[in-house]
Amino acid sequence: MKEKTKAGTLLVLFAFLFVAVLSLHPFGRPTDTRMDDYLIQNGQLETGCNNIVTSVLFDYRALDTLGETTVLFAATCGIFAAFLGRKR
Amino acid sequence: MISTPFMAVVVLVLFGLSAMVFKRNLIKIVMAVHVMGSGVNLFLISLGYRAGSTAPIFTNAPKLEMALPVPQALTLTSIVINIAVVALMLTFAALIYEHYGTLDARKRRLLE
Amino acid sequence: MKRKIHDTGLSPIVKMAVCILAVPVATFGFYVALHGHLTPGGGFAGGAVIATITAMFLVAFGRDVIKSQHSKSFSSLRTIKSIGITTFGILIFISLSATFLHQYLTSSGWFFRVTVPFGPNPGYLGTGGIIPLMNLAVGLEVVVGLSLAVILLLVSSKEGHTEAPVEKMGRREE
Repeated sequence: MKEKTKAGTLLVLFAFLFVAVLSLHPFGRPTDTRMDDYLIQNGQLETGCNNIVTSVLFDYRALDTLGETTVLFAATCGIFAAFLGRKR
Repeated sequence: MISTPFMAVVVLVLFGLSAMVFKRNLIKIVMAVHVMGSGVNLFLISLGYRAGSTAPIFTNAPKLEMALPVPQALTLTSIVINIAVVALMLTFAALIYEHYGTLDARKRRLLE
Repeated sequence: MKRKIHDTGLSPIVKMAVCILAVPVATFGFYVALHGHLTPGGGFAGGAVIATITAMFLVAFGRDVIKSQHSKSFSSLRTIKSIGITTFGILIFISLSATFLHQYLTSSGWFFRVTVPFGPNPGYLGTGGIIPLMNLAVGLEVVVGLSLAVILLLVSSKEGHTEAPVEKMGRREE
């Protein structure tokens, strides 16, 4: 591909990025916080954890953490498999 | 005008994407992917900030007004997955260097 | 063996410093992973801190020393990694499935069953139910995964060919 095509496509993409960032909510005033307010009020009572981020990671969204651990395990297995036949 | 964290996100994604397109060395392309991933993580946690709030941890908390905890948890997951992706990409870059003797992304024989 | 250690890697001062520094770094990483339910951090950050010990040893002792011992330690490392993720999976399924066990395990301590009132407080270690165990299991899995990745990438790669990649300035060919 020519350099001009690449630069032109990148310019169009960056124009989209600028317009998208300009239309976000102002920094420091999120729009809807009802779920997080419930988590802050009742997270400590339901899980007994002082750290609400940890309680979200390991209690309310534990399946996400299981998937992430599986991704890390699969990546390590992949790195191991790439060097299997050449160790001798 | 855009606020400061969002401007940093735009700069990071801009540099990462243009470096990924215009560079020829495979290691530099992998580094550009990592920079873009860092930009996305910064965007994710700067979405969940309330003005004048503190961390959502109750151990010796100074005040009860706290930032949103859910984007921070999602960012932790995203960081770990970025690590896994970049590690596998670097493995394949090392294998390519052993097999073909070059790290140039535009050599014709890489596509055979 | 003593002759091999003295030949490769960095100077003996660095080797002694790395051997001495490994203990405080391991303690700090274990502290960050264990107090995941009280302070920021948790299993992933604590595991990453402990995995830097492996990178420290690789840099200080050179890769030939590590290469000469790789055959008997890789299978045990893979076993430990599997144990870590299996423990995490078992803990996940225990805390998700049975509501009877849910009442016993969560919102109280492991053995002392200390419940936490609402509001700021200095952290008590015995709270949090099953979450500290999950932090430790995830930390174990992250430690072994990252250490294995670092060791494999640095030990198993052969010496490359003579042609080096060149980044041309100016006009490029298509």
